[in-house]
Amino acid sequence: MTKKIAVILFPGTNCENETARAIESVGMKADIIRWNLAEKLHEYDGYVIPGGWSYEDRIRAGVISSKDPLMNIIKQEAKKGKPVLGICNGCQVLAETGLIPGLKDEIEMALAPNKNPFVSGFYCTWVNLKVSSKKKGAFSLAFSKDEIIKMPIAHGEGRFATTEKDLLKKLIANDQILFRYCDNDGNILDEFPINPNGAIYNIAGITNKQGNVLALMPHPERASYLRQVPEQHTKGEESALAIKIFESMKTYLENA
Amino acid sequence: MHKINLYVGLKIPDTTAITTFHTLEKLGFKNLKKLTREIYCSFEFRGDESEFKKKISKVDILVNANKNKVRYELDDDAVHVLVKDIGDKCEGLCPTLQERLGLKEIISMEKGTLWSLEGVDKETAEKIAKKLLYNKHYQEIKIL
Repeated sequence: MTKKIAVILFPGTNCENETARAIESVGMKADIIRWNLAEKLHEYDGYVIPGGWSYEDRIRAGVISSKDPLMNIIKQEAKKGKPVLGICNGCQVLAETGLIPGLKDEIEMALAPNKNPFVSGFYCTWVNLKVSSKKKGAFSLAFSKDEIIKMPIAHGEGRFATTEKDLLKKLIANDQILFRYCDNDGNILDEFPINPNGAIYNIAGITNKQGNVLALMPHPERASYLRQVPEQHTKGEESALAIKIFESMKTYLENA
Repeated sequence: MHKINLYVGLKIPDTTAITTFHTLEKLGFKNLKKLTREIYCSFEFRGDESEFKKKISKVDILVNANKNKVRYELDDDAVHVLVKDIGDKCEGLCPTLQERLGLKEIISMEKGTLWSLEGVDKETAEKIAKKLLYNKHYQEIKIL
């Protein structure tokens, strides 16, 4: 049976259509669900919180959405093992709910304002990500370790940060850091522009301990076909590497 | 050397403060009567204080006279929560004020967001701050 994914629409979300398109292109069904019409949310097989500016980033990015009652349903369903993906603003929402890294029942990380020596505030560019986890979770099944993927970023608050002592050590030990910013050859250097926002340990995407929740700052839905990827756009509708995130989600659900 | 605090609020409805108020209501903080938000800037500067106040209140990147109002003292009965980014030295804004806008008398500055809460005590204000107004992983607060 076709797996059904809810693409969550908060006021100010603006990437719901291309996210739904990427989900459907791998053979799943995507329904865009408004935040205030979420009664049947628990019936879905998985959830994606797309990018945008939910609630206009009021107070700080993602925090108002994180307090929406809808997020309690997503938390409960994530505990059952259903896959949850947060992209960009969705990533910020997941951090503010505490769903990632999810080691304690509290907020353990922030997506802080970008820090780089040349640009303050919003920054938009293509980056390289290195698959840095061996763990085969809901969003990594189709990847090999050390694979390099191109994706765009577009954010002002994308710097993974924490004041939790030893949290980074735990994340490394638990193999929760799925994607790290790297150069074209896969070298992970903590310098601009390789690390575009000053994220701790070059983190671009992080999972919960079980691997069924992924918070990812770059946009895989904008890098799912070669026509979207710089220098490869003449190859048209052929799939690009970032589509593997959605393919992994489908495989995970089919194997569940 | 002198020091002043500048609080820049809105004359027009503040949608951020309205959304925040409603979110706090939904989170169960029913005693909160009123919530306002101001941009907080603190300046250390050389020279005459009243001259500096006159100048700084006319800097349009800080104050747009069509929509903003300014004050220099917290003279109301509200509990105030000041939120600042940890380690923020205003490395972008301060040189702009000094070099591009000619306010060379500025020695240093800091910036943040001041929330004023009416109807709650300091203890509740701190709970509200922890629940919604700041993320301890990159921000810090002072309850005033």
